[in-house]
Amino acid sequence: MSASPLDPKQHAHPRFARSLTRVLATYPRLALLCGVLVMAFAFSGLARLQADFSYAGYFHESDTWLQDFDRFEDTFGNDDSIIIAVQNTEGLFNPASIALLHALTDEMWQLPEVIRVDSLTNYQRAFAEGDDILVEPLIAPSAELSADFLTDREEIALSHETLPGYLVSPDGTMALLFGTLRPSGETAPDAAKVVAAARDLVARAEERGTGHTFHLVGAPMLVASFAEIAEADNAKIIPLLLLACVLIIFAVLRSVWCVVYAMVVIVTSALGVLGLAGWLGVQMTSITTVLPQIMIGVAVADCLHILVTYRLAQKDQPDRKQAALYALTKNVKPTLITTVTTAIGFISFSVSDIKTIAELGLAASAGVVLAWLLSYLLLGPLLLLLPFGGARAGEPMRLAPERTKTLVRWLAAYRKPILAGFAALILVGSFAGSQVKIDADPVAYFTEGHPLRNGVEAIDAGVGSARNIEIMIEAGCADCAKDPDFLRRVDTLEQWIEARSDVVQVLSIVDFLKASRRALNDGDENEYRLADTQSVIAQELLFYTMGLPLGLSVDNRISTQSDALRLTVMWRVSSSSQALQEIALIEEEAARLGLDATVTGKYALYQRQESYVVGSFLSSVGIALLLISGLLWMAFRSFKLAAIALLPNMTPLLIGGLGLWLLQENLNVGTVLVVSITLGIAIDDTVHILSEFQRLKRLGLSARQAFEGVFAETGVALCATTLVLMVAFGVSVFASFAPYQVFGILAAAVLFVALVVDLTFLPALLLPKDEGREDAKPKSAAWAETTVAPSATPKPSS
Amino acid sequence: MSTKISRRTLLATGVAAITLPRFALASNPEDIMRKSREMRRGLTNSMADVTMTITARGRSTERKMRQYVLETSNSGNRVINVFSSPADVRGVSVLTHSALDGNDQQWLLLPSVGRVKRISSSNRSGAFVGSDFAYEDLSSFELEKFKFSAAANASVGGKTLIQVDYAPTYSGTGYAALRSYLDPSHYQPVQNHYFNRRGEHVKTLQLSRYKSYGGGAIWRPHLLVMTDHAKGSTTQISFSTFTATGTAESNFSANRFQRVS
Repeated sequence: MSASPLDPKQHAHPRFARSLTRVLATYPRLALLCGVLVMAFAFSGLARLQADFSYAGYFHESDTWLQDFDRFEDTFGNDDSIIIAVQNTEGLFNPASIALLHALTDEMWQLPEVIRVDSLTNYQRAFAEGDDILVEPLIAPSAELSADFLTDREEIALSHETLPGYLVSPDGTMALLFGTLRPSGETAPDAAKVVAAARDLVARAEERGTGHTFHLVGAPMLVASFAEIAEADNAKIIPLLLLACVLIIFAVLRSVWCVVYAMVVIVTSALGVLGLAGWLGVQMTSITTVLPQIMIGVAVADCLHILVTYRLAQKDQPDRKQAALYALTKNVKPTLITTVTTAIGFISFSVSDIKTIAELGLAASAGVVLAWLLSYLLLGPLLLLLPFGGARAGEPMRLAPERTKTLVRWLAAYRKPILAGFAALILVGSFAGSQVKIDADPVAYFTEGHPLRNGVEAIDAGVGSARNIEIMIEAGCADCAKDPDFLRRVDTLEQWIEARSDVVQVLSIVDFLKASRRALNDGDENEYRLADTQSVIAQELLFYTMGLPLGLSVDNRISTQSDALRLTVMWRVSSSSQALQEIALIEEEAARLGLDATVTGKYALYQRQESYVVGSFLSSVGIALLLISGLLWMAFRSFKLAAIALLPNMTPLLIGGLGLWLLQENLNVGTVLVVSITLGIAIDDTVHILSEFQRLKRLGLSARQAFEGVFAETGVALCATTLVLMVAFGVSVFASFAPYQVFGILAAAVLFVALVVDLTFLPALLLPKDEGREDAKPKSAAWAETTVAPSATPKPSS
Repeated sequence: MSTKISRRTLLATGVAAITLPRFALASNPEDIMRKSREMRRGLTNSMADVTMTITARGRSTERKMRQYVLETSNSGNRVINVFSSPADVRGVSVLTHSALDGNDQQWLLLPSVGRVKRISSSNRSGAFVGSDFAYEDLSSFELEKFKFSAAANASVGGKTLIQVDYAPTYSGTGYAALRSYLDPSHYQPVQNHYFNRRGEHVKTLQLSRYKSYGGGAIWRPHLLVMTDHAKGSTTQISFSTFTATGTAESNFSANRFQRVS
């Protein structure tokens, strides 16, 4: 491409930008072919894409907590249960309710992946009856359900040491049935399959169990529900988002063909990123499902900068091809810089201890590069090859020159208040940010009214708890778990935990040992205690286990080698911060008793992951800022500009903190993404403004004229892209994954404020004091020639 | 055609000669299992040392006991198991009276507790001392306890075996169906498959190291390996040679079995 006299700006573009567009102009078909190949490569990864909505999606394989859990699972099996709650406000100890419980117990055994069912009716009770000692279900299916018998069972159940708060509510109106899933082994149990069958079961029970209310909860429900809402959210949000993109892009460009070009890149980027995720082995989780949404925002930004320049340039450049080349050339440097800064923003996630966030960063940074490649290899050739999107289309959105002049004059005049305002924002934002708590409740990730959340709340109010953490206590040698001294210390720990205010029940082998001893001693209540010698304990245990039916053995309470015990703590603790405190206290007490205890379990894993949030956040934001400043220094070859560029980009941190504080929301795995994601994107505004400012200055314009130029073209594109991005993230308020609702609002707010800061703070900082009052003379005729002509179109955006 | 093959196999073994009338019905599953039962009975009062190794996820634990078995002609076997290891259950003894209807009776002697207790054994499906064997897997095989549905020849690992499908009829079972693969040379099972009520193949028992007693008339396996496919665990039971030096018949009763050690 030779330098056109009609395009005098061209000489101010960097050489690599000119070389790139020259190649594009010379071999547009080859470029298109490359674009299609890149697209095909990305898409081919879609087949490899896998999803993991379980706890495993959040933890790196080397994570010590995950390894603790694996050790626990190896010893005691899975702690995942599908839980059905049955409620009858009139009480459950009547023939109809008990028959229903029998039927449910029986049907739960038939659920796929379930290897054990614990219910009120099949609870294996050791007791003495005359000369016989028996281990029998509390209410056997064969039992005659006479009124006397049921009253007797109610009395036994409600005064039992273990049952209330575990399998029945203290008032006898609600019962829980636990269906334990098989251990993971080679493949993890299929939560979706379990949940589908369980829902079917509950639906059938609802038909015949009139007068009863049912709830379905438990870890498989959590996993399946995460997957379902992720799918439902994407199905709802993505079409909405694409529609909004079409409308906004059309409003700005006023050309149907340009909208089509943009959408080609946007849709292929959004799909392509999932393909890249497949190639990179990134799994879909509640977190990574946001990828297409991010990518739509990023691709829109790339396309809009090119297309806005193209449409505005058409005013003075009637030749479509020349206008396209100008737009492509002008945007090479800023879009490349923003691509790299955004990619750095994302790649900095990879240091996160939360696996899915690390993976999100990896896939998103690859996606950002993909979006840029597609912008130049698809959009570029399309603009150059296809004869559509010409000047005959409507008048694109633009800013009249007198308005840009007024704006710049105004900005120069109010330099001090603007700078003071920004300083105030820093103060308020830092204060608010320091007040934000790190907290989460996996159940509260679901919006109010979600069946799972309803169920958990109903159980919390009835039986007491559907949340459990697990404690593995290792005795150190085979058969040592039957040592009376060891067991007494475990018993002390158990009682200490049971005395905690939010603990509803603690289950352990100790309960069974005491009950067996009492039964062997003709029901003497004084013998509800641990025996004094190991052989007595071992024989009492043997007695108890000999009476247990299939699937109800105690191998989930004591290891096969009898070298470890398991305590299950049923508690009401919902917030991760409180859970972490309680866990620390339990560990402390166990250590005081000289017990080698490991607190674990799926629920504890979910809670503990939150403790990684701050570390993840600080390291990723820190690394991103460091890398981005270095890059900006290299790109602008000016230390001053690089330093200035960083300042407005404290906005995401400040607004993020302020927003969380104002919304009374906590920092958690969902909301922490706000700052990290918006940081990489918000810096784009700064880069576009400063890069264009620097270019125009080099043309010999004054700072003031340069800003007028920036507002005229780049400003319009920035307002349009910011609007699209605000919509892109803002639509998350419609998500069912609660952290994303907050994320949507905050991200939109951050991007809006970031643009306002960039458009006011940067000029305020860079405009010299005196220039506001006097009109400097244009130093370059070239600039005047290409300045956009007066137009009646007002500037409605932002 | 399968009938022909099984007839030929039967002829080859030569054992059919004793029971010619039934030979014509050899493909009848109940007859096959009756023959199988007959060919393992005959050690009327025997004793063996048993080592049970339970292996779950790479870690294993061992239990040892001495087993006394009394075969009865008109009811199920009577068995006394006396534990010798682990040390804390040494001397614990279990007496089982298998019943034809599956409603077995059990007594437990706990020396440290100092008592003999009758155990409710309505739970036939329960695991035997934490192993992958249920009581019902170890209970004596009685034709009355099952309903037989089919028999056919099956090729397993290059060998032709007799496959018999049947289902328990007693209450408290953990299985919906069973499948045995018998070695046509001695009619003893080399593999049993256990199916739960979901129709899933949940456990497999491999029986090997068959030895014959009584001049080739009585066949007994000396190694049993049970695999639980859901839990991924295995239990191996190995028997010493069965000896006829058992204990007095009268000791197989609730008030005398504590004398056996």
